Amino acid sequence: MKNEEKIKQSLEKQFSDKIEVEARSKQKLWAKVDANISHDVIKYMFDELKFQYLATITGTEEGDNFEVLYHLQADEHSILCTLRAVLPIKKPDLKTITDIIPGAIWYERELVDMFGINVIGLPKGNRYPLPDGWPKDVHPLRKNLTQEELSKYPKEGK
Amino acid sequence: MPKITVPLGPQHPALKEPGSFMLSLEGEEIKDAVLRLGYNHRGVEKAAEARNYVQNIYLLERVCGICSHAHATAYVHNVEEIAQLEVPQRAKAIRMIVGELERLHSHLLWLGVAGHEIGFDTLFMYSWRDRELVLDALEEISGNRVHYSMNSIGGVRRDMSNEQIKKVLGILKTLEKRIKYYITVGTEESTILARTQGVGVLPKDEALKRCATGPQGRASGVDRDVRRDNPYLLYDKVDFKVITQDSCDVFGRLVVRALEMVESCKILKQVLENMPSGDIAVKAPIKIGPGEAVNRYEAPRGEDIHYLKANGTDVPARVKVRAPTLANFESVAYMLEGDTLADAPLIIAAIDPCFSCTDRMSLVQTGTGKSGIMSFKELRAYSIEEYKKKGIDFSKL
Amino acid sequence: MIKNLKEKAVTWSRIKSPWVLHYNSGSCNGCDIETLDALTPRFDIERFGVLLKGSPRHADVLLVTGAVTKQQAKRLRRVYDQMAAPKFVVAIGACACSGGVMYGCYGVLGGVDKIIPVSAYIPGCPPRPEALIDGVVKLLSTLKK
Repeated sequence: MKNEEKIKQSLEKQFSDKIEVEARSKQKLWAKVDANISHDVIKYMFDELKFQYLATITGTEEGDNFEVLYHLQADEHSILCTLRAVLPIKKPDLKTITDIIPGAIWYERELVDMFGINVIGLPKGNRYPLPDGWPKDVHPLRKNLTQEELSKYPKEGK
Repeated sequence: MPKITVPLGPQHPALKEPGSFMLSLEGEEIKDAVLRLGYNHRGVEKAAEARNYVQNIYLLERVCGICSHAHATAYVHNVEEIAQLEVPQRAKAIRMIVGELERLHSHLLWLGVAGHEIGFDTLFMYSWRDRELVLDALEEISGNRVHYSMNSIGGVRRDMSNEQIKKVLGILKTLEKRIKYYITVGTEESTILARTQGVGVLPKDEALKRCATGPQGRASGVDRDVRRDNPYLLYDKVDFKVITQDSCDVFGRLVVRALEMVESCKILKQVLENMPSGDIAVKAPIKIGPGEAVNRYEAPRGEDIHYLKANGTDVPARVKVRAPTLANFESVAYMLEGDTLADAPLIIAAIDPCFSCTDRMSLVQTGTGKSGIMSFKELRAYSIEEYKKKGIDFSKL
Repeated sequence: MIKNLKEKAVTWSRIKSPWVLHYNSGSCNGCDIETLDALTPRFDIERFGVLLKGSPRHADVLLVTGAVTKQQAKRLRRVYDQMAAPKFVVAIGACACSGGVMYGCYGVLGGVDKIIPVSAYIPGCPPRPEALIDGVVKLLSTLKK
């Protein structure tokens, strides 16, 4: 658990009380921050802590908040750090991380389509993964929609 | 020279992988590639939130027909982590055997498809013939050729008898010989070298930036393998090498996959010869959690990552699946740019995007406004013709 | 009489060499690899004259695998329309027959028969290549009548 502790300490030192870090098991770290500093934390992790790889981004809904989970890895000791960014459903603004790691683009597009998170600065391109003609304000993975309700969309034509 | 836009796709059979590629050409050279994915989007993640934990094994196996065991195993690992179940050693060994056999069948499948794309159909028929041996072994163990349904929460569903172990070992012996032959063909056959070397180059720094994974990344020198770095099952107890290449092209990907097959055989032999004894499953609770877990699994195509959130009921609150091909798509656009249209099918096939054979494209010439339809097969024929002009002919083989 | 003979000859030749087109409308790939497996040396469906074609304009039989996704429905219809009559559709696998395990998913419309008429259903998840060959042969034997 030596490396885990090291990363934990340097993250806590840099962001003090704005971050909660927990080493739950071997090679797995879980951290929690507010969405407005998640970009800075990821930049710090990539620049200073030798993180190199973004495995994926998971979106979840928890009460009145969205939680966006960045699964990041440092090649040196293969620690998978899950950084949780919390943002309110009422104002779901999130800064893109494609400037730090371009591979994030498809995962961020997924957040836009599936949850309706407003990713600021996302490069233009095709939507993913919903079909053409799917309404822009219906987001399948929101908890207030059931499968039956979703089956109605897209309404025009087959 | 008029700029031509060629839509390639959308037919790519897989869960999230099917995509359409809008290729902008200047003459033969691809200047720009724009992707549209999501053609097979069915809504599995939402459906998983409406089914219970046991039903979800069945559903998640059907995320992908080729790496079905990978998805099911990554999912049950998450459930077991949250429920704090101790899986018996024998169950772990059986999961590993099925997983490695799956890797063998997937790599042989890819080798055949790559052969087909470069116009070397003999290789396609040969490697698919030998792939049947792997499927025989899988059928012997699980009773099915494609979806094995071996996993249950807390273990596996079927035990392996001593006769079955012997039979699989016998199949491995034959396979090893054949694989050696393919390595010779793949690395020495001058026609394969001519079509793959220097094609679809992805330098290491680009591979890192674009989060390439699996054989795609390892062929560009990204030394990453979940089996070694974060050992799951019994991978910390077996001896194997992680294959990397520095050539960064399609040839490198071919070599990585071919040598990985040898390593898979090595792992399989070690596990089969030292099968742990004991139970194959422990009893699992119906209600799981609350809790969350994230687990990774080295699928044949690369790292497969699953996230699971449980809320204490018998249905999960969130299941997230990221299949390896999605991670590799960001590099495809880069590899296509600067290469020729003739190489496009091979480059797309080289990431092993689960594969397509009825991929169709329409050719629209912007200068004249004329349009026509070109099937994937015609494109393939065109690419073979193009290489004939350069003096490489496969039809004479 | 002559017309009858001509029809007989056409039917005979169609039965002897049905050209097929494989289309994936949202399958997990399991049925696709089994379909292709049927072409390779162990099963060798080509010995019945079955030939896989890349273009719908050349094909007599359309083999569809997988539940139809909303994004693919229009494309499946277009492929079907491009085929020359008489044309036949075979739904391969549980998903193509009825939606299977994907039934009720919001991205899925259902079985292939929701979009285009289907002549034969081959159930299984996935069906074995033997089942596939059997299905195609059965379809051809109905043509004789």
